[in-house]
Amino acid sequence: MLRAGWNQLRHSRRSRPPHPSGQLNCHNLTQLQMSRSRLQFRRILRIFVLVFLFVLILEKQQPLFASIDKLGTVVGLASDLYSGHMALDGRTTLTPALAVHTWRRDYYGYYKNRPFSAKHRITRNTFTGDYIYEYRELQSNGTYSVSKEMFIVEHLRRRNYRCDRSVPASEWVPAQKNIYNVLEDFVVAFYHASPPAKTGLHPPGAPYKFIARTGAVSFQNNCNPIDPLSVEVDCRVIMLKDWGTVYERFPLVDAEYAWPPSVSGEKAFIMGDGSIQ
Amino acid sequence: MVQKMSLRGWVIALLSFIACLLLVNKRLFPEALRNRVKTLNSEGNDPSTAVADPMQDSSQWNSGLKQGRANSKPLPPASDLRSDSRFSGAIDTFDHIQLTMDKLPSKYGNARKYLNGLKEKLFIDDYRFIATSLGVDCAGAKAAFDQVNGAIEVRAERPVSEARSAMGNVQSNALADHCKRLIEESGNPGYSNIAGVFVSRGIEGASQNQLLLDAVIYVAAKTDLEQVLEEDIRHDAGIRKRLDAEFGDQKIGEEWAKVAEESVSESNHVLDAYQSIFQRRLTRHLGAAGDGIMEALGQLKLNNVNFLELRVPCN
Repeated sequence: MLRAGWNQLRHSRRSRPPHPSGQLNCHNLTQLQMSRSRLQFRRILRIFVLVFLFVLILEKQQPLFASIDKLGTVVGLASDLYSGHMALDGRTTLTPALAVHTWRRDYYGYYKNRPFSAKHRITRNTFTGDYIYEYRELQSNGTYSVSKEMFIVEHLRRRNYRCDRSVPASEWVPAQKNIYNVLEDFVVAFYHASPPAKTGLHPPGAPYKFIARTGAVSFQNNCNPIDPLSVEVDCRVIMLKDWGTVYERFPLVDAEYAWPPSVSGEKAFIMGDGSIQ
Repeated sequence: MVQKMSLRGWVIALLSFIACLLLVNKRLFPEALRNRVKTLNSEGNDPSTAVADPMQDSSQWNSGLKQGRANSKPLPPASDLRSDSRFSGAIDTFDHIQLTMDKLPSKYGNARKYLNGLKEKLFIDDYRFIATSLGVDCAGAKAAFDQVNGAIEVRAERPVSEARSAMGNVQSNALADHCKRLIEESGNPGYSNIAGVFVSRGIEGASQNQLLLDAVIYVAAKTDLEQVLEEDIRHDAGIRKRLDAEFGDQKIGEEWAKVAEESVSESNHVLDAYQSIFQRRLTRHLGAAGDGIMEALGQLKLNNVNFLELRVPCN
């Protein structure tokens, strides 16, 4: 009974004709406000849709980053591979990882006629991922001291150069030997941090291409100071399976690499001649 | 005449479309088996952001989730592992490695690091094997290792015949599945060669009771260290030549060679220890037949292995 009365009242309010005088303006104002709020709502909706599409595109693009200190494992952000244009066909998520496997630096020569020689070496304990250190240094008595304490690797470089700044004897100054030889190198290991995650009917499979991308500053392979030439370099390997590890060196010798690199995965393709790219 | 759709209609349509997209993307199609297993086993362990820790308890390289004997006696607290006969094999390996480490010359710090890594790895694998075989949670493996490793024990050498484990004949289907996938899917012929060592000697079920996994770990670890050693020897020889050329008869190159030899000797100690450790584990299971297996494994190499894959699956 009460509900019926309320409905009747509501109906009568809705169907009441507009008042010919001031009430018409009020009605117009209400309509104006409503249309304005609709417009605002549409604007918000449009922004929401744009933000959503932006996030969707970002997700597809898979921005890559890596964290971690100089020697530790670098796990790239997951890279998604798609069989077709949509995830309907199938998707494979790769989590490529990279770690410095071995690093060596040998330097020797003369400083003011006194010989020096030293070696730093790091190898990775494959069971634990920990690093094993060794440092050898020539002592003044001609023997070598050996330390197995941890040391810091400040730069990751590949170098093979000799710098001779010796001064020949002159009438007033005796000859002075200043020679510096450096050999530095490192090997990185690429592997799947976890098995490739596959969804859909036809997810892409191996081979995959793993890429470590970083900046590098070139050195001259002689006594010149650092060449300001900076380049971006890729270290690429082909992962033939969902398992295993591939070892590789960064391509530039006499260069210092910015570290850590960003690590990503891509689909590799078997070409007509049987090569994989 | 087609009526113009209202704003509310558009919003609902858009939201439905987004929901459909998400559904198609995430839920509609069943995930591959390995994926499902991975999801189940790595909850709270996001591989995209976490550093892969090879000693973490939640393995992402699992291949099967087959329960063992759920009605068996539950695992003891970590402090009581030594008195539980099911862990006698695990404790025997632990003690054997520790005794080997204790015998090393004090200057062989790196050898100790290698063996310490192996000690932890094998204990965790043993713990996982026991737990999965019993159908109980194996998440406490690392904590159990820390407990056993931190306890002060007087360890004595004992013959391998006294170290037979109550788990000696237990088999794990999950481990067998994992080994099968390693052999079949990795495409690495090294795995098949190792499996062939057991098959050719008529030893059945090596993949189900850690024998095959042990053999794979041994050959992979040996190969890895041998390669580092070979490169060290080659590199040090090259540096020696350069030192001789640079310093002439100052004997700096000669001193260098002495230190390099010492380093090689340390690595050889580790290789010998690897052999001794895995030989003992094989002998515990196979008796004298273990000798022939070790001899055959000594001839094999296993390259390009991801050590994260070589572990007992944890459920």
